[in-house]
Amino acid sequence: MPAKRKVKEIMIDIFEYPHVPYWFTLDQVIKILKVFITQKESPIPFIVLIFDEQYNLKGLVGLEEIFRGLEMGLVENLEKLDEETVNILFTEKIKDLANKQVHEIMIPVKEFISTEDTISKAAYLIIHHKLQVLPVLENKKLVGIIRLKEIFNIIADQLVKD
Amino acid sequence: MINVITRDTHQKIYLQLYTIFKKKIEDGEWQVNYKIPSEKELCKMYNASRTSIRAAIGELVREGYLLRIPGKGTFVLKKSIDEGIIMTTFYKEIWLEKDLSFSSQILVKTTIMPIENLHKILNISLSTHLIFIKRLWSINNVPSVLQEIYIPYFVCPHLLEEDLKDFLILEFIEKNSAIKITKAEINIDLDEPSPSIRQDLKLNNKEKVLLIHTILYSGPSPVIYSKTYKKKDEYKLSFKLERKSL
Repeated sequence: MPAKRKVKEIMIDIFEYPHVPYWFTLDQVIKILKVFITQKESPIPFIVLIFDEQYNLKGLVGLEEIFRGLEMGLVENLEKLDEETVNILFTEKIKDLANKQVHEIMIPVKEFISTEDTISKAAYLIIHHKLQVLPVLENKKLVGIIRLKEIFNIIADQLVKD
Repeated sequence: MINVITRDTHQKIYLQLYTIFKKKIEDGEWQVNYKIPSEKELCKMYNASRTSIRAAIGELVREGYLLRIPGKGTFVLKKSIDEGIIMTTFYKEIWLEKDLSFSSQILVKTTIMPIENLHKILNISLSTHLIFIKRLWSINNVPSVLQEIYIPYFVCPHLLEEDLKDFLILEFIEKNSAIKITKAEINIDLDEPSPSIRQDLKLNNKEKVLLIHTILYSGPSPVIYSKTYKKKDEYKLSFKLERKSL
């Protein structure tokens, strides 16, 4: 039964994604992510994993968080943002906006799953917590990642079989 | 001009060829960036075996006069080499004086992507993960030396899992991977450290530090790059060289 399959069977390698420490600047993260995005087989979603000094996963940033982080330098309240203000992102001024450290804009990682947990548990966490990725731990060590794509593939396989 | 080799002397053919080729470089007949004739052409020109030609060129490559580029040929790299005196040393990860009692603390052990010119120094792609280690060396509990070490993840993945407190990183890598360090390239500079280095070494705002850039190679590949910051204190960096017995 697919739902009882183990997470370790479908997780992907964390080294598919770029890693940075939390003190890297947005400027550095954007340059790093650009390298990955322009690769032929870049993994989706486009995210960067953020670690602390002891290689513990603290959070992640995707394209949306990067845009939000840049925009936060333009206005105090993002609801006041208009098209004209957003224009600044396409000018040289972006260099000043990209100065902040990435931990200021990252999504903290709160949900984890074990390699021995079932795929149905992973599916539940991803869907109900609206996660882009779910980190997989083995003996407290980060060993992989589950995405909605992996869950979707298994569900789709059921339909194909029928 | 083609110098001739002689079979009447006891000098080996490849040594005669070596002397001829070296003279061509030093005299400027073969200028820097000049692509020298192929081994086949040289065999014909000097009526010598391919083995002798290859040995002579190999020696000049080893000495740094020539550079072999696979698929393109062999080129003149330098006109003269300042050889100095050939001496040997033990490469040490930390050059603090011999009898000092120091302790070390791993401040950071994590992964990063290559930033600035790290990919050029380590000859890796921009998408290669690096292990980044920051280690503080203290003497009598006072910070003295800070090291930032960058190692491509593929060189020794185990490094991330280990508690490195009691290990020298170099020793660990050599024991746990197929890597054997064969060459060290060292540059020394005076540096105005960044705020984070100042904080780690407990420096005041104006203090400069000695910065030692080290690139360690395994064969032709750079495998470890480190930046060692030494603050001015009563302790010296020390290393010993001995003349190689000839």
